[in-house]
Amino acid sequence: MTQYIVQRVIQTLVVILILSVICFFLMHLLPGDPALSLLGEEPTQEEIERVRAELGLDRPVIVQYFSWLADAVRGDLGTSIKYREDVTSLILHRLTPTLHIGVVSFVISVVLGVAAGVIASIRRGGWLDSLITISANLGMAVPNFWLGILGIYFFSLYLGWLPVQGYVSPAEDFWESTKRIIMPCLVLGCSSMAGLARQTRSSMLEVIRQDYIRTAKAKGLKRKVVLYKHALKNAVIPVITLCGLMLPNIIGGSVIIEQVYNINGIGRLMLTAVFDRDIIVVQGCLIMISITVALANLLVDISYGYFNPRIRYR
Amino acid sequence: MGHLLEVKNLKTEFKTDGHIVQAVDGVSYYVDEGEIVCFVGESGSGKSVTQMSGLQLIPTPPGRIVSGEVLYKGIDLLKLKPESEELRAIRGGEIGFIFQEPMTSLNPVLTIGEQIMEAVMLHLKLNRQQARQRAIEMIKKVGIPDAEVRINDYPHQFSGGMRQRIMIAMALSVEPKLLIADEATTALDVTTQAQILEMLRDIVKSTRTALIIVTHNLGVVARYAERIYVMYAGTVVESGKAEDVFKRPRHPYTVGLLNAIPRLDDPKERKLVPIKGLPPNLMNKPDQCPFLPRCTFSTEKCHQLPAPELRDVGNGQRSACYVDIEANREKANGQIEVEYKTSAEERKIKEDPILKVNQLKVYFPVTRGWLQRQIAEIKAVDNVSFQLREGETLGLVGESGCGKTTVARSILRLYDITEGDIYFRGQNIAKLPKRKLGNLRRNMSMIFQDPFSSLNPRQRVGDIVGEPLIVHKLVNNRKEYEEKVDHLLEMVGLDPHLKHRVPHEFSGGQRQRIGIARALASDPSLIVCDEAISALDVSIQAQIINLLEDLREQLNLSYLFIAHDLSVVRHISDRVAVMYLGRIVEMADWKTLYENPKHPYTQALLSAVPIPDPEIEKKRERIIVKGEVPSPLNRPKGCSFHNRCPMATKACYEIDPDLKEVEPGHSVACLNL
Amino acid sequence: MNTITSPKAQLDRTVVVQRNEFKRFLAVFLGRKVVIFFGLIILGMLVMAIFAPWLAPHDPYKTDLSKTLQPPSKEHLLGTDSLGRDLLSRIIYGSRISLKVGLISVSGAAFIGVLLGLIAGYMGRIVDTIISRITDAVIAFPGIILALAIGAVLGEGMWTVIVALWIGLVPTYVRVMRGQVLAVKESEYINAAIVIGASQARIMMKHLLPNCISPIIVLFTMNLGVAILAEASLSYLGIGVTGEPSWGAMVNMGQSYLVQNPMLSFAPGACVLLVVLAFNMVGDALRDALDPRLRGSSR
Repeated sequence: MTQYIVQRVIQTLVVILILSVICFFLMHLLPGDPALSLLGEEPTQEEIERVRAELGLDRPVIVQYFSWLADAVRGDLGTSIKYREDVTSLILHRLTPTLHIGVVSFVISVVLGVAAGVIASIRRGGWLDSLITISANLGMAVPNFWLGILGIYFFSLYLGWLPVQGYVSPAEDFWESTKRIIMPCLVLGCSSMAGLARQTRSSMLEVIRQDYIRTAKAKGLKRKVVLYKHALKNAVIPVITLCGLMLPNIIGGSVIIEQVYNINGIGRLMLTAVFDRDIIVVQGCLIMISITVALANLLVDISYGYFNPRIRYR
Repeated sequence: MGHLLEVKNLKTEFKTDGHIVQAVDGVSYYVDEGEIVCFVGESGSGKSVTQMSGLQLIPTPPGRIVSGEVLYKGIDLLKLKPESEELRAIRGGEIGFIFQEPMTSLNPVLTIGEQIMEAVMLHLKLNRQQARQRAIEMIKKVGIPDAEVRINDYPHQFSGGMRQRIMIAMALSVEPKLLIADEATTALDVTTQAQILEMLRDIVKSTRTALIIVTHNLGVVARYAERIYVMYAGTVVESGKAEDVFKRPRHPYTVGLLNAIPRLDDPKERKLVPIKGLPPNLMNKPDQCPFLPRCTFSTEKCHQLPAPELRDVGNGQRSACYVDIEANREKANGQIEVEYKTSAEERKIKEDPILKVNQLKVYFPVTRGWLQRQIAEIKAVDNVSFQLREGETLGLVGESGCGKTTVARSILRLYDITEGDIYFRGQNIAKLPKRKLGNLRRNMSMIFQDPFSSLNPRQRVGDIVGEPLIVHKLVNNRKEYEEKVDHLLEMVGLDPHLKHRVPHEFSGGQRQRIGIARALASDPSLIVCDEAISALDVSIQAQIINLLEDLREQLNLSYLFIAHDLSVVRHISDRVAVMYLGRIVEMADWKTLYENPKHPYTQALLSAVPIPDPEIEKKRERIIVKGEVPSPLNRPKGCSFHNRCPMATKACYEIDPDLKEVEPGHSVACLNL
Repeated sequence: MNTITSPKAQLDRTVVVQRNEFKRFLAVFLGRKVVIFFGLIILGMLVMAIFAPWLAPHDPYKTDLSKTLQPPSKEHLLGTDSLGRDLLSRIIYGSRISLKVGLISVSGAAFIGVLLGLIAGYMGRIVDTIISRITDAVIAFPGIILALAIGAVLGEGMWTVIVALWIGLVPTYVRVMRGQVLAVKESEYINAAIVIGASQARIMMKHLLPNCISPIIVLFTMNLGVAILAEASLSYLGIGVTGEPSWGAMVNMGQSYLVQNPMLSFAPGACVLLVVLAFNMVGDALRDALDPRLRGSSR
């Protein structure tokens, strides 16, 4: 197991390094000159030269990459072209709402999704199963921005139960904060929840067909023991992998959710930066998100190894 | 006193694709305390479903128990709810079950100790500590060393044979009154099978536990059964004491089975008598004797009357047949109408070798991790040499993992050869570049083990059979092609009109015929048969063996015949080589090898094969080898068999013996000769 | 070859199961009643996209500032937007963009992905390792973020969406195709083809490809839904299609007038939901019908 974790950690580091290369060079594909977009209307040649030197754009690309990487490792992601502000602090300011909503939504979707899948598989063919299956199919097809707007219309405008938009930190006012994030979290987790429910259900049904479940029944064990001890322990293994596959869903979806609910998180920061052609910020966001994705996958891999004795005891 | 278990008129159905399959159709039987009863039948005969129905272990839906009574100590188990306390106390507590697939029947995420302990705690009402003691004791009893440590291991850390021992330990740990072993040793090698069945019998006899063995292997039945039930098409067609049924089978199906299988003590030239036709379709069966279309004893009467009931034919033997088999005893014992095949002497075996394998080595790298580093080497085939003469059949036998299939596939260049030479008609093909193999591909072909996966499901049968003709440009025009394909299909006994159909539409035996037709298409001189018959049912096996023998004679073919079934190899081969851990340990003509084996492994192997005759079985001396086949990853030093050999001396631990000729035509790799 | 003719009467002419694969496929596929319903929805969308100029009651681009934000009426069945354009007509025209983006992105991705998957699976070793690692990395990366990055490079527009979808969807095909090739490559009938001397090209075309293709068909169908959903999301964010009416962008515009006329957001969004659901459900049914082993696992 230790060897397995060490392997995964090294892999993750390699992945982050590759991603950093991609992030950096992707931004160098930009057709326009960042110096130009920074200077606005009709700059003079000297002005361009000056800004290019200021940004370090006159050096060879490889040198640029390594100096950027060295800065990034030290926590310096450059200065925003538009805001003229340190990108790292810009990102850190916006990190709280994104993480808050992302983590809560991930937890909700895993718990509810897996539970729904298990219930559906146990009550296979019953009305509860049908209800869960239909909801899951809908949940996977529904555009989350639309669902968010529908939610705002009914719960905020029509019923007036929840605030319309915006974010409040839980440290400031926990109750208000919860009221504001509950809807974004559910909407964001909707498709992951649906996907997990479906997968858990078919994973359970698959496991129930296995020979070792027949063995457990032949031992005279109670149905509950057979289901929760013998079947579920096996069914969660593929579900963990799936949880990992849901992560990009949640992280990507947060851009949309922040837009729908007017929340100033990383997603919105990146979106505005894209419109402003503020590549330093886009680059910074991209590398932050890459690291988050890589680390989250690392966690998923490790828990996969933990739940699977074939990896734990190799 | 009543029987321990008595089943009356059990009927079970399965619903598939809108059809009803009557898997078990009115089966009655009983088992007494301490008795060993065998259920024998081919796949689809309903023998396993019968056992599972009784304990309500069949999946419902699609399955459904329609009617019947299952009386255990007088309680009707079918009247109990499948999840009820009472039924669960009997299922698992009083009646234990061992299933066929040891690799999948244990839960991969729980330790074996936990899996045994939970049963013990539930049924024997012991606490955790006591249950643990009991589990350790049971694991010791089934012959697993270091029980105290291994109890904390997971199933994937054990071999198939070990897992089956664990299943037995689990079932017996709660001291059941009846144990049902459902094809429990089918997936295992013959020496492991012998070890496990011997152990099982010793345990049940010492504890007076009744044992039901469900199997398709008549040899196993003859060796262990006290009473037998023969099943066919969801019904019991014959039952009685083991000796009686084997000596005087009273149902045409039993008669057919006994004549269809090759035996270790057969006369060599006896032609097998296959049961014609196919097993019946269990959907919407007509009320008629199910065996009628395949029966050679049938009379007018059989066609008119409904399906026969089991009736007494004397001495406790019962048979579901209208015909008096006793009156046709000579025919039934295969004493008349015996056909003999052409003997080896009559066939033209030339002295020149068609195939010469010299010091063949095939190693596979074991890689690990992200970068696929090589961490070890599996020496699947290590220094194998033999030759095959033109027109001869060489049998290559051994247990799984011994490298026999690797040898076959290397000769056909499906695997890369690490070292050594292979001469086909004098040309060394071992190092020939792949694109220069055209001539070899044409003259050497292969018949595969699995008739289901070896045919492309998207191709029509005609295209499968005709593909070699196109690949090697053996026909000039469409008409010639069609004629050739028709001819090939006729040669293997299939109607050419079937050539537009896809493989799905055929049975296993028919598919194997298609595979044979494909192998014959390019008119080869050597055919490698890789376990060509082992996936087939007994009655179908005989058809295919006879076909292979006929073709050999008519087309003057040479066969390299790979198999694990020693009786079949004996039946078809002229010479036989025995492999163990990537080496040939003994090689001789069939008669010498089977009648005078010199290598201790060959002796043990032959002794492990049961002969379908209880009287002979009683007299046979048995050599049970201990231990398991080591992994080719860490071959023991010295003679690779030394750790299991009853004759091993100190030298065997040091010196690796070569294959030496001990008498003309008989080579053995053993130091003690 | 020697001639042997066994008597014709003894030839085996029994067929164990008589079945026409195509009939079985249709029976399973159409056996699910939802398939017909959702199939009709897809058909309806096709008709809408192709015949938009004839079906739309109004010009979708014509603004009329005297008739902004009108509620549904006889003249404007779904009302008008903030610029006075007919909502229904814009929805009908919006189907064109969805379909165009869906088809271009999915067929492009399928083509590249199947090719790469075939290469990775068939060649193995280092080529496989490289392709698989890149595939894993892209799959783990959020598609929308990717699209944003591409948007920063290419600017807003349909091609940003399509390029992002190509990059995002190719790995799904690579993965499925690679797995399929690895499984089929190990099957005995490929060995049988090698043994009879079939050429590499023949093995690829006759034996490998036909047996790998069914999951690709299923994935293609499902991905049409994925692509349409992605296009809508990106258009909602504003980096997608500009100029032409697009369902996602319409939802975005409508959000500001939720109180005045909620239909402006609800109707185009509902169209996205329905179409994506239709492709998912038909894809599901296709999988069950094409692959008997998977039948029942999702039901």
